[in-house]
Amino acid sequence: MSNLSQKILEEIDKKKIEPQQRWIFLVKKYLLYVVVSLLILFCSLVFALVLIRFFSIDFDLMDKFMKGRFMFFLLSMPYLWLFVLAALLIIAFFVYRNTELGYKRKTIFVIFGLVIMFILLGGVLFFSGVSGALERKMVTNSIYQKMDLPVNKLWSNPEDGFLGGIVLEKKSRKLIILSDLSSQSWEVDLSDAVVKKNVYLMKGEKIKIVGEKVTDGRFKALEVRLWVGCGMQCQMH
Amino acid sequence: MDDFSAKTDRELIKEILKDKNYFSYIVDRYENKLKKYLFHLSGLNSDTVDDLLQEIFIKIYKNLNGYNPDFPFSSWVFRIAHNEMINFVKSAGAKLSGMTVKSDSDVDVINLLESPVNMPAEADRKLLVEKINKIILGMEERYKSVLVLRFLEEKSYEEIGDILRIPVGTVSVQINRARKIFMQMVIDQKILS
Repeated sequence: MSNLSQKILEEIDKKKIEPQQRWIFLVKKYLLYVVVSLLILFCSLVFALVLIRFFSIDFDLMDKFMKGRFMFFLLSMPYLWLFVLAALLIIAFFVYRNTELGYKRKTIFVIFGLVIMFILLGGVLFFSGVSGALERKMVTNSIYQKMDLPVNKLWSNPEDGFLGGIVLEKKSRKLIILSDLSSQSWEVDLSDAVVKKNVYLMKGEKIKIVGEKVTDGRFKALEVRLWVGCGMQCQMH
Repeated sequence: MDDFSAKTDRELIKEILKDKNYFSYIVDRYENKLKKYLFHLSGLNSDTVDDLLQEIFIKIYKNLNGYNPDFPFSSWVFRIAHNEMINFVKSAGAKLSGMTVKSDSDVDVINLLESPVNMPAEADRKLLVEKINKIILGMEERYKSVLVLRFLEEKSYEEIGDILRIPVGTVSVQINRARKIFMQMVIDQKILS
């Protein structure tokens, strides 16, 4: 026995050091896999929300936007969700790297694997309508409403005929009161408007209106759409 | 205590978990290997390395239940030693490259030279070893680690990957880069005539 062995055994005795229990290592090991799985699930959900937002872009209105098609597209992109998706992906990558076998695979394969997983699972959430239901719930959430999202800028252009907001009151079949995205009230005339499927004009419903501004606080609607689409479910109706 | 020196590491671990005194076999088996590795990588002086080694072996003992027998035990031991050394240097606020060069018995660093032509006479070899050690210590930590593990510790690519927790492909790339950098420094400093 070397001097070092002797010293170490004495130290172990003196400080009463014991090997850590096996279950602690097992919990740590599997906890990392659980966290990675949860992160993939969150990535999938966010990806499904990105799809919802993408399929909600009103490509048919691009030509009507005064600032041009490109600006319309730029303002319509779901940057918030894309940013969240990228952040979750990076976190998932680093957590996976810390799993027992995580370091053995090349970075590119790990990222590719994670992306494939969230695309597949996100696709399922999108086509099943889960993400659509979630997005419709979220758009009426006060925190989400207060966020300064680019798409809000697009639908805060009554001068150009683009007005978005939440239905405050349905006065009649031809008139509603709308609170726009900066909480200003509008009387919206629906007499000549085409109201798209799945728009019920109920209190609290978030909608997009294409039309023309009559005066401050008065808007004539030509078309009323849901704020967000409902994915493939709406396409099937 | 019976002589357990013929037992494999895995067999020893089972015994240690029943009786801690068998841990001395593990310490005896790895003491010199780890000491050499720490010297090459850090250039720390002998007393500091001995203190560090004690901490490393105690950490190994504490974590014995966390060892996965699907991997070589030596890789696991080297990984703990590597991480502890990095942590030590970080906490000491020192740079690995700024340490004193130790050169007494480290003749094996000459293995790092690609083609040992014009090898100096034995009397000059010690000076050569010292210069090579200095070059190694001056290299970036990731390159220094792979060079030391591959050429001085003679670890396989897979073992290096397990120790440094990087993919085997990355090990290969880093070894090639490290060797090029090393040879360039040898040429720049005119170590070989």
